[in-house]
Amino acid sequence: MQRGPAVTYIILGLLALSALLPPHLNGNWVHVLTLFFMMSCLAQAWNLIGGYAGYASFGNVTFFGTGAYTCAYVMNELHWPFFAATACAVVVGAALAALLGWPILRLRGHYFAIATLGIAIGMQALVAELPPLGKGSGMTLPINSNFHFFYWVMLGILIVSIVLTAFISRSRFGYALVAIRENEEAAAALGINAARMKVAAWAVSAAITAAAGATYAYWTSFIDPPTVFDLNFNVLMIIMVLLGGAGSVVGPTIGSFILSSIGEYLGAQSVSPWHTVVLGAIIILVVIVLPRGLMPYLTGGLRAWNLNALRAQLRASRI
Amino acid sequence: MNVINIAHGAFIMLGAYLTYWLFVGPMHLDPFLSIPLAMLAMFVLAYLLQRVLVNQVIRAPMLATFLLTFGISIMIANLAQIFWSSDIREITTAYSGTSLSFGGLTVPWVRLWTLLIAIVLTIALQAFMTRSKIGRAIRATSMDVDAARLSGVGVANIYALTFGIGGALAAAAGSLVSVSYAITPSMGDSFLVRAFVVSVLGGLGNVTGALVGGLVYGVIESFGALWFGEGFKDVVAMVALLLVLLFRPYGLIGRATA
Amino acid sequence: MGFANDRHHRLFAFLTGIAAAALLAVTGAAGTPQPAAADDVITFGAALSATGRDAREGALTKEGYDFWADYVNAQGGIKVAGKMYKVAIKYYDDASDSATSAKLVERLITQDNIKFILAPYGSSATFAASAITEKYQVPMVDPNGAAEAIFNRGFHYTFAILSPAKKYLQGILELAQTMHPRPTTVAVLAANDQFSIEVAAGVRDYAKQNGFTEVFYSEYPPDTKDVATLLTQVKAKNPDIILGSGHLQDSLLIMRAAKDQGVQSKIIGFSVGPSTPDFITSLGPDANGVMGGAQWTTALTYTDPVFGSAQRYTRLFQAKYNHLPDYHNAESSAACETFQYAMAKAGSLDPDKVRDALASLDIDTFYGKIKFDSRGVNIYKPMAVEQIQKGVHETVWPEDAANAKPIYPLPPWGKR
Repeated sequence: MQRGPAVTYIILGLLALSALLPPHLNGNWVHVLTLFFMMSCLAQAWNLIGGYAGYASFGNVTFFGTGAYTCAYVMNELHWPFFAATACAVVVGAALAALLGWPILRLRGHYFAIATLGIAIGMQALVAELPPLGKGSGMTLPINSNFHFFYWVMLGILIVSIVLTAFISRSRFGYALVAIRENEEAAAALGINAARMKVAAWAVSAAITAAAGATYAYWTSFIDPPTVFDLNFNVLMIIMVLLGGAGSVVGPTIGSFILSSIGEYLGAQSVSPWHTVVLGAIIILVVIVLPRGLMPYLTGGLRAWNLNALRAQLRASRI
Repeated sequence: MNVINIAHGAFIMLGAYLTYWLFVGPMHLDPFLSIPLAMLAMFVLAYLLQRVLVNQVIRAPMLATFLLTFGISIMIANLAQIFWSSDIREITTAYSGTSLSFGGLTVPWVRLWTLLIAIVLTIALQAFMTRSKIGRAIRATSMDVDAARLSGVGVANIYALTFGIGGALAAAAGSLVSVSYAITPSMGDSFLVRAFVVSVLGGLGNVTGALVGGLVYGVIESFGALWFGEGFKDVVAMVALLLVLLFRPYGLIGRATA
Repeated sequence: MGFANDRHHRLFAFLTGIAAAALLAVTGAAGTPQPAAADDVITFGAALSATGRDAREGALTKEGYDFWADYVNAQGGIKVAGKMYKVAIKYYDDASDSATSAKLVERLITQDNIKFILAPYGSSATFAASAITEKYQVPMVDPNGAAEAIFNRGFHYTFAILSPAKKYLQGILELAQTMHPRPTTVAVLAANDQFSIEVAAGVRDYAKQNGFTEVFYSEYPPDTKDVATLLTQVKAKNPDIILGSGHLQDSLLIMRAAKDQGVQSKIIGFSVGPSTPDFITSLGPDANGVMGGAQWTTALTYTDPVFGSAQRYTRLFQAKYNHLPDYHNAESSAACETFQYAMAKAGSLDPDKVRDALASLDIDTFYGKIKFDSRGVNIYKPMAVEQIQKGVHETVWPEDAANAKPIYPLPPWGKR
């Protein structure tokens, strides 16, 4: 098994170290970092189906919401403890992805993307009509104000998802996914069972997303359909993956870090919408200069940082 | 052309605001009459945006255009918020609320006109795409950029023109909806989602597909609301979408592109 | 644009870098300066929706908060334990997202060291924020989150000064009972969210117990774009009274659809919408005759030492903001005033002492009686009913506060 790029180990190391941070941080930073870990989990999960397999899911947030509601229901109605509830959420999420994946992953490109978008919208509407799930009023969960606990749980899920991605990327499964992304017909001709691989990738992606959703539900102690099925989450997770580098092991986390830092910095400056305007401008500039995200520069070493490479890439990207 | 335009909703919003300002301004232009003006203005804006910004990433890997147009859309929406505030604007004309009654059915005139104009624009677009030189250039470029370039098509210009036409149509949509809905800076979002769903339902790369998709979606949503209750209408519509895609993976009248 | 040569490319990349850095720097420099962390300034914290779906309501809330702050500062500040303090409010934008509200409230408390929170706009956001204030034991006064569910969690640090959700539309039915001929059939439309469902449940119960017949009830998705199907069904039932429980944009949508379909009822009323200035400017003459449940109206006869009376508040507010205050404005100012009284009563700025003072408060303000039950809900303030007549809000209920007779039944569309 080959060793990965140095940046993967650096990121994992930093994350492991950050487990020691909470006692030294005020509540605001604990909250901000927990959110950053959560968004990174969502991005890492999306990367499996979107980055490696090349199937851009606009509906991954479905599993986030499903995980959140499963956790809420299990904790409230069955009175199970949190970790058992999260396990249920993971199972439900993966099962849902497997169930829906068989028919939906047959679609390609934009059709797949919009079909998943439809799933997200439909699921939100469905959940809002189910009385056991509180309908439009949502559900409350038992209060747990030990916010450090959630910090560590989210961090744990993130580390697990990065390690999982690393293993997948170097396994036959991972190579099969990349082959599917590059040319699905050729991959199938080579004997790869594309259908099964895609569904498996989506199931893993859904499992991680559902775990994050379950933790989110317990953390905020209140969920309702518009919050946990919010399409904005999906847009954000895609942007983070693209900023960091799709199809790489830690690209999503890096992208999440970039977006979260800039967003946090700008948001703290003022209340006016100018900060979002600036965010938009920065996103535009970054994607023009780094259309493959940051990863190629971090793995290519310093050689990639010269202007010639940048110029060549700009030329290759535009029309 | 494989450009996912997240800013489409923002263009719709701009079209609506433009119509509003023309309506309450000294000209008191009727919303339906301001459609050509809104279309022209947005065509220019969209053309420039494509030429200057989006063209930089056309050949970049997957979804770079998604990211770029997302950045554009949040800039536009928030600039609108800053300059025009979050006050809700509405356009009420002399004929708003009047309707055509026949056989127990009540059809508001505004909705009827909206439908007619949508049909006219679709037919015009279809004719443009199939008959005109530029339309053929667009279709050629969408099939194979390099071959088109070799055939002498100015592809950068074509991309920009296509985006411009999309922007113009979004503006027309904005003008049309401005008469029926509240005008706010964030109004574009829900229209964007529906636009994506509808175009996929009908079939991508297909002008009449969008019209068919829109009509089918509207009918399913309304009957879904009637038979299953207002809350389930989105569920019904999405289930219908998924079923359609199951049996027709390229939309109702779409085809697999080469 | 095709770059003619590599030098242009370099220039572009270089300018891009400069532009990005400049943007970041400018926004940093233009950020709101921190109020002097001086000993004589009390800073309140508020995470409000400046953007997003509730942007309009958030803006109205901010006007209310700012109006109070400017007013008391012009008087020299507020007096606590013999010392005068100026007031300041630190704002963040939660973009109408309740998860963001919670995060920003936590930031206000733990990063900005703010000890007194003014609640975000809306029940959902207040719900999310209440868990945070409870954890850090920071008192929060809530002027516009009316869902009682917020208060069924056994929290001690959140206090809602507004009448609870279930009372919003009751007043309209109370008024209806005094009309001749007495209307009997009711149709209720409710947005599928916590607040609106509580409002609908409250009015439906009241209807059932007071001799009204409910002929139609339907919920609709909160962000629906189309209610034509709903109104078609309502029209078929021909109800005397149509009640809508939702938010501002819903009320406009329903009014338009009702006019499109030619739905004619004797009374039409909404929980949220008619009281805002936008309702009248958006609908023009069609707005006449519409009733709305109002937490407060400009005609009420309450007085208080800070603003004088409801009428004086109205006059000063209009002078400053160029529009008549609606209840969102008033209740937001009243929330700040509540803190003011609590601090004076506690004689201290210690959050726990202020919280205790809030819990035992019993005062009359220009907004109404403010007194909380053991959960933190103000069950002592009645709600009023407004009706738009000739483009102006008139108070039509309760009778002792009414300054106009209600228009009943509604004239046909086009004749309003």
